[in-house]
Amino acid sequence: MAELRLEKLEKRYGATVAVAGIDLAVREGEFMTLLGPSGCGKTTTLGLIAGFFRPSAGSIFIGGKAVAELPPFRRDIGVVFQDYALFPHLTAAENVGFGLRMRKLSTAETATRVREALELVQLGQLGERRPLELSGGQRQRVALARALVIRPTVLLLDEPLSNLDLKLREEMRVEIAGLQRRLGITTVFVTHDQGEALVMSDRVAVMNAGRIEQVGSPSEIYERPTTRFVAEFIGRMNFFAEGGRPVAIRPERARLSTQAPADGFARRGTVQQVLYLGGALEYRLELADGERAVVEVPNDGAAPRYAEGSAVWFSATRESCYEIPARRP
Amino acid sequence: MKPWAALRAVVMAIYVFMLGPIVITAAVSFNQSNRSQFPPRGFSLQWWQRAFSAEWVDPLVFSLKLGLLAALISTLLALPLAFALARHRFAGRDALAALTLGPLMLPALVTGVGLLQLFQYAGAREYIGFTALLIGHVVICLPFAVRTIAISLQTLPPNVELAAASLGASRAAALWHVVLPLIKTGIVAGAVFAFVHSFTDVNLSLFLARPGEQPITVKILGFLEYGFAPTLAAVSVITLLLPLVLVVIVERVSGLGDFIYASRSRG
Amino acid sequence: MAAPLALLLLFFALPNALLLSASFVKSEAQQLTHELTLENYQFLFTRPLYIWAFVRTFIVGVSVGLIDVVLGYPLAYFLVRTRSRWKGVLIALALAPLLASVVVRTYGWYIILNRFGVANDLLLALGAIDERIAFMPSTGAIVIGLAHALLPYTVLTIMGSLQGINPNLELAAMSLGANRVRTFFDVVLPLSFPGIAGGFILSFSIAISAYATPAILGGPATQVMATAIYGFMTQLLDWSIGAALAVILVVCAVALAYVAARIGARQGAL
Repeated sequence: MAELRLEKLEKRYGATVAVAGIDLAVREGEFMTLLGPSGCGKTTTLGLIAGFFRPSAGSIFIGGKAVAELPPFRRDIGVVFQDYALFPHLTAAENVGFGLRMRKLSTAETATRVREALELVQLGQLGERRPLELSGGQRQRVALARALVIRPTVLLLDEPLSNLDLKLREEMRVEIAGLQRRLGITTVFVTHDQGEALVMSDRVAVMNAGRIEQVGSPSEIYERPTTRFVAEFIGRMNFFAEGGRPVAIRPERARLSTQAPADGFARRGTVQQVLYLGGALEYRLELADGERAVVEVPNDGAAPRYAEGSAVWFSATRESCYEIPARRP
Repeated sequence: MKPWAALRAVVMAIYVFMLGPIVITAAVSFNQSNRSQFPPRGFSLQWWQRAFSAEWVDPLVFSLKLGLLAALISTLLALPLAFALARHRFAGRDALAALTLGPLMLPALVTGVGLLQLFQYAGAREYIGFTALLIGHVVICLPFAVRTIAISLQTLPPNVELAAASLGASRAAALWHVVLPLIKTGIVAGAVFAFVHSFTDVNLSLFLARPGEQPITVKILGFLEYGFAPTLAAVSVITLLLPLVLVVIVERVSGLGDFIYASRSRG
Repeated sequence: MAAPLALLLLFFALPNALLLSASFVKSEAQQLTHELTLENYQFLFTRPLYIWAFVRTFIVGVSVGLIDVVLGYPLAYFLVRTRSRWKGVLIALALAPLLASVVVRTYGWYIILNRFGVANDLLLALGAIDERIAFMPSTGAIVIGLAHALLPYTVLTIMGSLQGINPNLELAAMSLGANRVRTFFDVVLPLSFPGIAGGFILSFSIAISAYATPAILGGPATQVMATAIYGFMTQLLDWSIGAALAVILVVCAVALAYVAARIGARQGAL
């Protein structure tokens, strides 16, 4: 376990800039997520940390040691790939033991550690199977075990859950986060799924077009986004101008009523569409001045329902109105 | 008649056309008299006895040696070429690809003629025979091995080498522990294709053989004028069975099926 | 890496370069001189014997290509579509002949087509003819022998092309009202044109450079380019003209490979 530091890290491919100079410090034992849309540079950043390619500029420090010039096999990292990258010609146990073999551990010690690792990910019985004979979820666990068994200084995960179906994904999120907490390995997790980022991380770095827009805890990112991009990328946001100032209101903080509220932010509008989300109802409104708005109301059985076409008031308390700070120079 | 039944009938007829001559050749080899009669009259194994005499076994063994050596050398030389072509971009890559696949594109006949001229003008006449044949065969078999190995390389699961590197494997270790085991089938297929191509070649061997150092194909060709039908028929069957047995053995040991579709060979 | 490169340059590129230069040089008493000349090519293009050799080679190539496509397509289609449990065996049977040398396969036709061979015996027995026919040596015999020998290559090529056709396309056609026959002619056949063209070109290009079959089933009166080259190199010992012939053959082969590559490049799966 050690601290990971990126300083002025850049990666250019010809005229394209994939990573445009980022600074990031990941504390020892922290679970840091790089979150952003496709093409934002998060996977490239991970690849730079792993050593799969050399940076165009900048430095990478693992435990205080500069590693940018080192090839991957000298960085003491563990990587879980999006497609798992299991060795098809080896059994699950042999896959897991691969890193230990490279580190020249004895056969006996390797066998013990492999067994422990497989049990850690609840695959104790499947060690002799080949990747082809395993389900997607099982392969994912083998990939995880393989990266963990070598007790790396830094654990890197590249969208490891994106090939799993929803239920499995939600399960694995919690499992992986729990494992990480138990083992205390400094971890960098890459995803475009904000739900994952919020649930699993100690801190989230939101990236866009090769830069980090904001770094903070999940609640900081969600409740106090510092840029419009972050506000829109995580969850949804209603944007208005009130008295010349920009106002942002989360759909779940807004209210619908038939009558104007006493105070706070309010607008008249008509319900355009009602979407049934199961646990909530999403109302899409068109407001008096032609603006669009979204309100999310929990489906608690008590809240009144509004039909499409009905006239309503969109409102929010002062506390629920958020102002995105002006851009820092 | 339903369309599929009609198709099946047509296909049966085509099979008769394709396999007929081979069956007839085999049958003729058992003929009593020294003639190419079919259906064969009488039954005799004397021609098969002749087929196993030194006169025919020597060229057979010669072809076998030549083929195995050519296959081995081509496959070894194909490895660096396949890696270079399948994995790297560099100036001159297209030229290298053309050069490597050239012997496949150009008639083997021309390659044979060219080599004959080369040996003559280099004053290396004494190498005509096994050495020249070996060189010629390696040249024309090389493209097969390169192609199958390159295909293997291209169908490697992505990221496995990065995974190996992230787990502590140096480039050499990753090659040995991960890449080579995964392209094993391609290497074996390449070697098999190379062997078969060498064993069955006649166009190139024609120009580089000399009396006493002749592949079996050239020898058979030479004897066609003289009759001896059943003996030649027996020898022909042997030259078909030999590669067949080899391919079957190799297929059992390391499944080859997928590579059959990927190959486009030239006669 | 240096080894294979050296091998290819020394024993492939160099000999071909030699051939090219030899073709432009006069040959006297079986020795190459240093006199540059176009005589060799002139010789080939003005002597009827060799003009006929070119023509015959071309005719043989086209015939073989056509026959192989006509025979190969049904076989390829069957092998790709059949659900029989003998599918693997049938495919192996179709490709197994490739394991035998061309000499061996042509010998089978020699046995069949010669004056005292199977074909004549059969026709006599059936009473279809009164006297034995000399089926060989003849161009026709060459065509049959080559078509037979090269059929597996065409089958392979067309099989490859058929397998690239998305099976859902046929289902779509049938859902729109086309029966199996219409679906085949309106959807499958057009989409397999690149495979057909590729198969034709493959058979054609191997056929025009074939030596063994024309040598066995043909004779001095039915020369093709390959047998003519052999004659010049080993009997007439005029290496310049032999080289010129070889160069012409190479030019044809390269042109064909280029065309085949262009067709292959346009073959996209939908």
